Amino acid sequence: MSDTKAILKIEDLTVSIQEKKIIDKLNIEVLPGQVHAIMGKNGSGKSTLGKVLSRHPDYNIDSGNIYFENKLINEEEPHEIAREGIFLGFQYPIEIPGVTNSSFLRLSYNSVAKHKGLDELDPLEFNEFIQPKLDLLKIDKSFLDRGLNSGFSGGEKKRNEILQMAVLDPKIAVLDETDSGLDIDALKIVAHGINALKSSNNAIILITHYQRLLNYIEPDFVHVMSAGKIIKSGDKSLAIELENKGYDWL
Amino acid sequence: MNTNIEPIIKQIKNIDPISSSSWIDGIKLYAQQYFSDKSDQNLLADKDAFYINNLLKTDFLDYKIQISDSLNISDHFVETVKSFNDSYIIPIYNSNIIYEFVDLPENLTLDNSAVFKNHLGSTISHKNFSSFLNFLVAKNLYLINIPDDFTTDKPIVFLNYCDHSTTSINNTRIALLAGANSRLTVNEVFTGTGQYIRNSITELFLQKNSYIDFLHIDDDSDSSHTFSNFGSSLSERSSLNLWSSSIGGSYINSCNFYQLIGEESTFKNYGLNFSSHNQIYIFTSSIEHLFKSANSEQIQKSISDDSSKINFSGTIFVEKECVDTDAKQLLRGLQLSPKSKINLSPELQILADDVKCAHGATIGQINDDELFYLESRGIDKISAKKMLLESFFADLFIGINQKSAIINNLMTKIKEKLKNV
Repeated sequence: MSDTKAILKIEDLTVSIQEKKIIDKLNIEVLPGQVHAIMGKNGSGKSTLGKVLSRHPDYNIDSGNIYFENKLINEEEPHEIAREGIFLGFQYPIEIPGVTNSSFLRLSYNSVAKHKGLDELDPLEFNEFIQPKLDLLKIDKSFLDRGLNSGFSGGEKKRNEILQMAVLDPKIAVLDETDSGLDIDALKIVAHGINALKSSNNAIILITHYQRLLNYIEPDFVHVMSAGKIIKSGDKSLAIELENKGYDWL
Repeated sequence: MNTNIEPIIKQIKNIDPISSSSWIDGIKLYAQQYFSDKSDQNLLADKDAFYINNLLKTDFLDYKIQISDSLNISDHFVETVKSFNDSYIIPIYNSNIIYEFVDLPENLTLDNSAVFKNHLGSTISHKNFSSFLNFLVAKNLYLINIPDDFTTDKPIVFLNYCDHSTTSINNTRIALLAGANSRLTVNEVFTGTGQYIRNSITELFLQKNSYIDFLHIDDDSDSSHTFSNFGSSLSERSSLNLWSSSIGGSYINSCNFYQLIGEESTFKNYGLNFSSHNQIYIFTSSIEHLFKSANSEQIQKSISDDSSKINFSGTIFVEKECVDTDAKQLLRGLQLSPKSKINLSPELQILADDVKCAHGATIGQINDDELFYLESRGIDKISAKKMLLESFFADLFIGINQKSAIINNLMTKIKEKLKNV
């Protein structure tokens, strides 16, 4: 049990996959209303952090604790984590052709709503519920009838991730390279969506390689990861410095 | 009895009633001819041989051949017939058509059995176990002659119902000849209660420019053993869209022959086979391109759970001179448990040049990345698995252009099976 106002608190987290250490005694605390950006070279452990937070079964927590709203969640299942309010935006969203986007989104929503004690929505009610979210992300309604991410362009997949975030209304969203594969116009739409979903009650962790996303979503903190550790933290100016100087000076 | 119907559905009684000893003799003959030199390489084929050997050794004499003309039909059968009130129906109870329940369009013309003479048996291999025995012992042969230019507004359903309080053998044989330019939807459902052996042959003969949407469902009782032969021949510019699904029974050995004998004939087959518990399903499919410029597409998907086994051997054969052939075959398997087995064997035999043929087969388990993606959105593991299973076969039934009790019933049955996954 942790006693803090943090939505997320990670203490001395060490994670391995197939006996290879990927995250090494990592600490971070995220308060409501904050945006944290995590940057770093390829293979530094950024994406692993996202997967561990959503309790991917391939990643073993060797030591350390993850608290979500003061509750230890080391042993929770992925669907439990999602229902409690942790959302992972995938770097490479999975294509599932035989599942329609609408049935997937509604089942997701109803699973979370039931956990929160809210009413589940029938298809008609869900259509009404999702329309403003489609408008926010400039997504055509026909998008809902397509197979889940099936045949979607890179930009459509990323927009679909943010649509899912809008539907599930998480307390904390970990967005793993949401900007990758997006052209400038799509990036603006996605960033606009994320900013609209941001509030004083939730928090966002942006995992990214590039500073350009941070021009649209302003971070409160920027962390640099290397070899599974946070080796430097700062404000937005750190991201600009990294853009100019790279990572080797750290 | 509907007196208008009987001549349309021609019942041939020229085969002497046979005894179970004929079966035994037939099986022994077959076993000697076709199983003595079987190699040990194909587990499921061995299982077939093993099964037949067991039949020979054990309680096969207890099985009674259905030869009685006076049938006490069960209430459940009547209820099942009535559930097809949105279709025309030919109800077959223990290998006998029950004429009082037959409902067919009035404008069907009388049968001329002579038209069948050149066709019967032409699509089926006589060298397999079940057709061999069916030819040997079948009592009733039902012929449905669809006239030229015929169309229906509702599906025609063959309801094959086996109902036995004692172990029994049912030989059913149906042939349907679709006249030139006819268009129809046909459903064939095999179901029943009790312990029985079902040995059925269905043959379709599509004349010039005819079109059939055909749905075949094997949903036999849990303790039934099924031997099924399905044959079809497609004349020029005819089309057969065949959806098939096997979900019931304890043992199914299904041999399927599709012959494209006319120019620009088109055959499409979309199948779902879903086995669980100790069910054993063995399918053989042979698509034969025997005339130029014909097209075929086959997508067969198999799901096996628990300790069940599915074997699917599919051959595409293209005869010499059959240029401009376009044939595609995709076999996919999904194993849901470590003890379940799926064996898929696609094969191309092409004797002609200038053809387009493609085939492929994949077997796998539920994709962990897909499962995690759904779970990460709050969907529990069981629901996520069901969603992925439904997505595995969802595309198969998209093209079925009918909304009937039969489709709803099939989907309900599949969903019931999914509940136990």
